[in-house]
Amino acid sequence: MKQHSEAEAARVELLYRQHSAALVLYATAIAGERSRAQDIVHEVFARFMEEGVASHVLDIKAYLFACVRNGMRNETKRMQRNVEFDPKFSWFVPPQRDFAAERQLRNALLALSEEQREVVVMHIWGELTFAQIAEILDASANTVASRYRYALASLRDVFHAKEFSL
Amino acid sequence: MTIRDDETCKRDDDGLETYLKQFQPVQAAPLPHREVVGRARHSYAPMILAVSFVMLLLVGSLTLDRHAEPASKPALTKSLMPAQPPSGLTISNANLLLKESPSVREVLNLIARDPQTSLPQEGKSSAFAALGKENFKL
Repeated sequence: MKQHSEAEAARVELLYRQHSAALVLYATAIAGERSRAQDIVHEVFARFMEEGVASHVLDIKAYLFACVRNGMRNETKRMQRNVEFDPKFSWFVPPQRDFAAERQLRNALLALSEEQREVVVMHIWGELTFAQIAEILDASANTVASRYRYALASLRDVFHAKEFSL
Repeated sequence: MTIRDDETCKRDDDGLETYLKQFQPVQAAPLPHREVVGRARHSYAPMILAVSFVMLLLVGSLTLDRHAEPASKPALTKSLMPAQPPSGLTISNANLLLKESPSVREVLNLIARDPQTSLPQEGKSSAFAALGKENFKL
């Protein structure tokens, strides 16, 4: 029993190492404050530590995102407060330490609607497919793809001057 | 939108995605280990409860003993009390008597009954006697 618990804890730790950065980014992009986002992700993994990850779950990554999403929604409902984005904290480690670009990306993401933002974050940094995201959001894959296209068009406008197409 | 525009958009989207992926999400804080502590607490909980219960029983029984004590106390204290106080009324002897006797009154009685403490030793006189021999003129 103890060995099983330790194995389960090690598995949860591994999942955390693999996915926590993207999950915290996702939660931050929705919840606003990074500390809140971090707490929510910790809560999710704390539950896994105590109860174990449900063995019937096939797509563990999508399941983690869904858990964090539910956690955020419950927390927002419980706290009954609006989302306030904290501009002090970076969301990304920018390439070539280009912190101006990091700020620009953050602002561009914040300019998107929440629905578009979560699709972009899940697809680009969470590396989830549209089908997986559709499952999490309880929407059709076409809807998700459409939100993503619109979001990307908005981001393209912002980064127009950048040489990303090279 | 023409086919050419679509292709341009697709190429742009791919390029933008590649660019965006260069931004790495900031690492999350390490996972706290309170859950492991919590698990351990769960497993020790019955033991802690059992120990608390035993302690409670001990304290209860001691309290009951203390309440039941007065009936047998006199005999016990009498047996503990020395038949004769230690010779000489010194502070250490008085302390010893006070420690061993149940009340101050008993100590005083014991000292009063002790002829050694009330009578001066042979060849010596009491302070009152010494003062009585002096002729004071007031």
